[in-house]
Parts: sequence; structure tokens; C-alpha cells
Amino acid sequence: MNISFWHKFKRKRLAVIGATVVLSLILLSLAAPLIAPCDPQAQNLELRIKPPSWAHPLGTDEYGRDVLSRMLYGGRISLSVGFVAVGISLSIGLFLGALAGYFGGWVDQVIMRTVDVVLCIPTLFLILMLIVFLGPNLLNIMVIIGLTSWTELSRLVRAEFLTLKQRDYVSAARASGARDRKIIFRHILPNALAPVFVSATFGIAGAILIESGLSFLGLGVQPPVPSWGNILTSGKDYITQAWWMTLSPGIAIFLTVLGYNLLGDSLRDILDPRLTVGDEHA
Amino acid sequence: MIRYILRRLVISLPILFGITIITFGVIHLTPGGFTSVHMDMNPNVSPDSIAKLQELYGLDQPLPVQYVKWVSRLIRLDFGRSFLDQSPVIHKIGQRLPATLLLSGLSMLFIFMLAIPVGVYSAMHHNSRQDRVITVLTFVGYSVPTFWLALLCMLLFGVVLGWLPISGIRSVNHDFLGPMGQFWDYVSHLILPVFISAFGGLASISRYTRSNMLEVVRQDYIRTARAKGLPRSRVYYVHALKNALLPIITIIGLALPGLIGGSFIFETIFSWPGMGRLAYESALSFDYPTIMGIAVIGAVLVLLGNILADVLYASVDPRIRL
Amino acid sequence: MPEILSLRQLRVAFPRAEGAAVNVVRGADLETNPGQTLGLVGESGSGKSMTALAIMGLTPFSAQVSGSARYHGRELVGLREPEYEKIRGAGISIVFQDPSTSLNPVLTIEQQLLETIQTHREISQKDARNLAIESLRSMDIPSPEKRINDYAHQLSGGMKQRILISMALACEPDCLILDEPTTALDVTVQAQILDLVERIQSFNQVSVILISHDLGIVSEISDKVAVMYAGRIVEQGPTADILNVSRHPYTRGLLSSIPELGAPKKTLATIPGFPLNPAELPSGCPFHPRCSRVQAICRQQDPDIRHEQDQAFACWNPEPQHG
Ligand SMILES: Nc1ncnc2c1ncn2[C@@H]1O[C@H](COP(=O)(O)OP(=O)(O)OP(=O)(O)O)[C@@H](O)[C@H]1O
Ligand SMILES: [Mg+2]
Repeated sequence: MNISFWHKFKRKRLAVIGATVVLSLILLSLAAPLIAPCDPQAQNLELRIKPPSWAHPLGTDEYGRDVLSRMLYGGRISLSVGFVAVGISLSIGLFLGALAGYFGGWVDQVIMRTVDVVLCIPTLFLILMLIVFLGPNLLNIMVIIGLTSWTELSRLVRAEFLTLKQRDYVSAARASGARDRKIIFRHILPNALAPVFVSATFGIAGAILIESGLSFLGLGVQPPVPSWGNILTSGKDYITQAWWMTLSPGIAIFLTVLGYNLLGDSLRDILDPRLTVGDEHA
Repeated sequence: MIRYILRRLVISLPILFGITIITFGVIHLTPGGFTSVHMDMNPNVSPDSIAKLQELYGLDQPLPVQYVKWVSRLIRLDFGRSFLDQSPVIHKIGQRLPATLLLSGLSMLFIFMLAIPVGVYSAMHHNSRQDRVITVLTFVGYSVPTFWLALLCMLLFGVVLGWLPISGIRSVNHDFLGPMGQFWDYVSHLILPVFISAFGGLASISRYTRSNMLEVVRQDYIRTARAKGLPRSRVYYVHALKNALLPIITIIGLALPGLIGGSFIFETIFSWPGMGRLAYESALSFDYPTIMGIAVIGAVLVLLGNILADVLYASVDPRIRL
Repeated sequence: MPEILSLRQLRVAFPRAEGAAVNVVRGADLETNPGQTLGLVGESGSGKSMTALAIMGLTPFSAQVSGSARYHGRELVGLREPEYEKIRGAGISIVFQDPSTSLNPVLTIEQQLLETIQTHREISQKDARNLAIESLRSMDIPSPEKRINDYAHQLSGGMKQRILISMALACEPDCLILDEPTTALDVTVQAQILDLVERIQSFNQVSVILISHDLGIVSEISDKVAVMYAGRIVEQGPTADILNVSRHPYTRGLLSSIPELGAPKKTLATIPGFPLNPAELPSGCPFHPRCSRVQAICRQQDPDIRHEQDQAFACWNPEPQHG
């Protein structure tokens, strides 16, 4: 990242807000064991459903567990789902997109038709199906979300490769006898990364939303392990008496996803000027 | 026209084939075949139904044979029988489909009726304060977990204000209402689910409309229109909008998987008796045949939606000859 | 003779977030008279189109226009939008550079013609349609009553250009700007369009501004020629004078690159050096890095306009009058 990148970045208010939100949430969840006031799974039936207080800043839940601590640990789940799932979809998307874009021909045909097919099956149904067959647990959720969200990315990478492989320096490299692998990794890939990076940032937001939705419906991370989605679920039954149980996870999911979306949008504006809207006649 | 549609259908056949391959692949994903894993803890599975399943998928036969048998059943719309009540899966889905189509259709309508004017407005006032407010709102729209929003809306309109029912498609006393009463009963049950399932789409379609408008407004023919002395309103609402709206038709196709897939979240929250909720119920009870059926039908719906969008596009855009 | 359009020190600038604004038109002075054609020539990026856009009040959102442009004595710079709309298409019309993208792809030719006529005139649908068909016919468009139902993609480039010209003339303006009307067309069509332009100018008593980067084309049908370089009009005068006794070295360069009839076509690149980027103009006279008659002062100061006989030029060391 060069100087002008940071310069542009700092001038975008929404970018800075997004980055701040994202960074603080990452820090908070990394530091969860250090700063969480209680054990997230420690029950205390005398403290059932207590509103926020100094001892329990976000109140307690129906088992008397400290909501703040559960939120902090839940944040670790959300973030790891976001990163691992996107890591998986990134690997698949990059690999298939690069193959299709670089080699073209029947390789391209096969891969892109597969993408068409996967795009047809409603992602959430596909996820639901896979969860039922593989069983709902954290690892499976991450893998499943990753396995079902690479299609857009592979199209993107393919398009980048298609344009980049026409560039002079690529032809020059090829003329000088460089092998495909070297051309792909050394010459094309580095230049195709900007839009991939942008899309990955949006991908994290999407993965976090899906995970929390699944957990909310009991198909994601299983209690007593806390995740924002399942904290929300248990709060749902007490929503009229204990607003704090649903408010904190809802806001946490919202802020995290918003942070990544803001960041992704600003990165797109900065890294990918083709997509920004410039001057017009009217 | 007919020929175009036919051609479009034929082109879709390989995709249909791909859909069955993937679904079939998922069945065999579970190591040791799917009859082995969750069966012990699954109270709905009797030895009898395992046998049925074995037979339906012909699990003792080689994979290609299994696949061919399975597909030939699918063609006859035989998705097997539900583990839960032994009724044919296709009937279960058939019962639930209308409610899902109603909900998705209305949401789609709602999205387009609201999002397009908003997008056009913010493009016309782009970089103004109103535009910035709308931009922030769209980000909020993208980012709010809809299930949480649903919860809050149910609390506010259903519990605190008591204005709207929060679950199902009609009230218990529905049959005792007059025609207007029955109509209103449906409408009031629809308001929250339609609003919530449209919510995410509102943000993205209005954003899309906005950027489309801004793109179109830079084109040479818009400059020509202005150079002819046409008033701004005509330049925007006739020359620009018509061009900006065309690609939005294709977006219908792209939005469909999200709407249909998302139905399992919204329908579950609002106890809406549709296909999405059926998928959820079947997932909880490991009712494999039903889930598989829903996945295939869902994909076919998306495919049909895409074809419809293409045909619509082709018939509206003068540049495409049918 | 009262002039139709008169530009005085017309400027177009694009402010930048950092650094000084980019000046793409730097003080243009021009006049047009009824029934005459003014040729505006210059290489790509010299600011020809931007000058035309400034006259039409159609510069991009971020551009700043200053100076003066008067139409029948009426100031156009800063004119309010509703007033401008009455002039556009009815008083001054323009045909833009690229006919292939200048027609709306989803409206029929009829819709686009009729809306123009009906914007400026109280006229029934039927009369407007007849008028539209007539104006297409006068542009040599075969079977206009059929063509009028077509969409842009169904027409050839030359046909589109004819339609755009007839659309521009539909409300009988007295000033017509043609921005490189032939660049995008192939040679045979080019000649037909140029014939058409000559006919328009003599027949309709319109004053035409013909923009081109080809001095050869322009000199054939223009009464006056103005040569633009880096946003400035560096020389202008009657066509004959410009052809025979041009004073600015840049004009000479353009003249020597006009191909002889039948000879293979050369381009402006015969003048050494590359076209300018208006964001990085050299000091002094912007042409000095490419000029064969460069002197010390040329590097320091931009010359003012000098008037000699009917010609005006901006050069410290002009070519001798008879050389
Ligand atoms: N929106 C803009 N922002 C900044 N500079 C611009 C903008 N639009 C045009 N320019 C610059 O203005 C200069 C003049 O452009 P103009 O279109 O008038 O050139 P031209 O003489 O018509 O060239 P051509 O023969 O290529 O049409 C160009 O150098 C161009 O880069
Ligand atoms: Mg131009």
C-alpha cells in the first residue's frame, strides 16, 4: 500500500469509521479472555435476568450468565467465521477464477457453467442442506459458508485475469519463455488483488450475517458456546422483560457488518476507480 | 418470441443437469452414506424408512446407476416420502409453495416500487445532503441483521402497539370474518413479513438504481437530449430512466436466489406456512427427502425466474431481436 | 454585420483537489456571422469540444466557465437553466462528435425528433410528425416515413449523423455547431456529409461552427478558420489568408500535414512532439517545445494576440508575411 492510498483513505470519513469499528471489534474479541468480567458459561441462578449494573454492564441472561462476557466470546466466533469462511471462498474463487481466466477454452467453460449452476441453487438452501448432512458445529459452519460463497469471487478473478493477460508485460514475460505458473503468480495475480480484496471485505460481512442467522435459528453454533446469533435466540423468549438480552447482540452484529461494509465500499472507491462515479453532463 | 423462450429453455437444460449433480453430490457427501450418520439420534427415522430411502436412492448400487434412477424419479416429480409423516414430498412442497410465492412476489413488488424512485431521487440529487442521508440509510439496510429487525418490529407493532399480527397467514377467527375482514386479515398478516424480507433488497436495488442512473447520465445521448433544449425532467425521467431501468430487469433474476433462500429465515420467524419454513422444519427433524426436494425445487424456481427476466429484458430492449 | 455568436476571453477550468485548476480553454475570442462557416481546428485535447460545450452551457458538472459568450448580444455564461433550455435546439444547436453514441438507444427516431420539435413549438403531433419527416427528407434520408420508426442500432453511422443533423436543424436555429461531424465516418460518407453541411449553410442562412482536427476538410467549406492549441486560439483569419499567409508556426505545421489529393493520409504527428496535457502546460508559449522558430522569450511568456490585416495570431516570432 502506497502513500497515496493512505492519503485517500484518511480523507474518507466513512472509511475511517468502518476501519475503526472493525479494528476495535477485532481487538475486543482477541482480548476477550483478558477483559471479560466473568466466565461466559458460568451459570448463577440467583442472578437470572438482571438488568445492566456495574457488576454486569450488559445484564445477565436466563441462566444468570454475564451477557458482556458472552458477547465478547461470541465476537470471537463471529470474527473467526468471517475470516475462515472468506479464506476458504477466497482460495476456491481465486483458484477457479484464475484457471478459467488464464487458460480459457474448455477449462473456462466447465468452471463458468459450474458457477452458473451453483448460483441457481439458493445459497441458504444449499447451506441448510449441507448443515443437515454434516451437522451444525463451528467448523462445519465455517467450511459450509466458505464452500457456498465463492461464485462471485471466481467471476471477478476471471474477469481480471482476462484483461490482465492481454497486457504487454504479460506477453513479454510469455515471449521470454516464462512458465504459466510464474506468469500467473508473479505477473497477473498481484495486479488482480485489489478488487479481490474489496470483495473479501464484503464477504466477511456476509459470512458474519449468515452465521448469526443460522445460530439464531439454532442451526449454527450450539449453546452453551456463545455466539451472537444464539445469544439473540435465547433473548428472544424474554424480549418483553429483558430488552438487554436482544439489544446487545443485535447491535453488535449490526455494527460489525456495517463496519466491514463501510470499509469494503471505501476500499472499492480507492482501489478500483473504474467503479466510482465521476463527472456527468447533467 | 416463442422460439426465443424455447431456445432459452433448452440452454437451461445443462444447468438443470448440474443442479441435480450437485444435490446428488451433497447426499453422498456424508462419509459412509447418509443413512448412517444421524439416524441413531433421529427419532423420525424408523428402520422402515431407512429401507425406503435405500430403495429411493438405490444406495447399494453403483453411483451412476443410483444417479440415473434418482433423476428418472425426479423427472416424474417423485421426490420420495417425508420421514415425518410419510406423505409424498412433492405434496408437502406443493402445499407450501403458494405462500412462499405470494411472499416473495409481494416483496419483490415492494422492493421495486420503493427502491427505484429512491435510487433515481438520490442520483438526481447526487452528492447533496439528501443523497448522503440515503447512502447512509442504504448501508444500514445492508448491515442490519434482518432477523433482529424482525424481532424488533414484532415487538413494536405486534406487542407494544398491538397493530399487527406477528405470526401465520391468518387469524384463528379468520373463517368467521366477512369478505373485507378476511381480506384485511391476510393483508395485516402480510405487512411485517413482506417488509422484513424486502428490507435487504431495498438497500441494494436503490443503490443499484442510483449508480445505474449516474452511469447513464454520463452517456452521450443524454448530452444530446439536453442539447436539444429538453427540460431536465424529461431528460431524466424519459431518456435516462428508461436506459437505467433495463438492466434492473436482470437484477430480478439475481435477487431471486436471495429472496427464495432467505425465505427460510423470514418464514421461520413469522411462522409463515411456506416452503422456507418447511425447509427449516425438515432440517430440524433431519427429514432428508423433503430438504433435497426443496433444494431442487428452489433451484428450478430460480432458473425459471432467470428465464423470465431474460425474456422480459429481450422484449423490452429494442436492441435485442427475438 | 451583426454577429450571431461572439466569444470574449471564454475560459473553461477544472478545479482540482490539489494544485491549481486545469485550464482547458484559456481565453477564446471568436465571432460567427449569418450564413458563414467558421472552421475550428486543433489537435486532440486542444479544447475544441470544450469550447463548444461552454457555448451550449453543457460543460461537465465540475467545470467552471468564465469570460463571455454572447448570442445575439445576450450573455450565455451564467444564464439560468430554463432560459438556456429555450436557446438550446431552437437558437443554437450542436451535433456531437460520435453519432454512434449520440442517439438514445431505447427511443425511436420519431420519439427523439418529435420531442425536440414539441419542446420548442406549440404544434400538433401530426404536424410535428410531418415536419420531422420533411426534415429527414431534406437530409437525403431515403424513405424517411419508414426510417422514423427505427431505433439507433438499426441505422448506419452516416444515417445516424444525418438524423442528428436534421434533429439539430428541426427548430430552425440560426447557429449550428458541428463537432467533428465526419471523424467517425468512412470516407465516402464523409464527403456526402460535407456536401450536406455546405448546403445547409447556403440554404438555411445558418452560421456554422465546424470543428475538426483536419485543416484540409475545414478549409474546403469554411469562410473563416480559427486554429486552437492548448486551449487558446493561436491564429484566426479568412480561410484564404490562413491557407496562404499563415503567421503562426503551428498553423504552418498543420498546413504541411494536409495530404495532397490522392496521396496517402498523414497525420498531425508530422509536427514534432506530442499533444499536450492541459494539466502540465510548459511555461511561456505552450507550443515552444515543438516550435522550430523558438526564441528565448517564447520560453518565458505567453504571447498576446496580435492583429495584422484580417488575421489575428499569438506568436513572438511569426512567420514572415510573404514567405
Ligand atoms: N471532466 C474533465 N475534467 C478534467 N479535464 C477534462 C474533462 N473533460 C475534458 N477534459 C480535458 O479538456 C481538454 C480538452 O478536451 P476537448 O474534448 O475539448 O478536446 P478536443 O479538442 O475536442 O479533442 P478531440 O479532437 O479529441 O475531440 C482535454 O485535454 C481533456 O483532457
Ligand atoms: Mg472533441
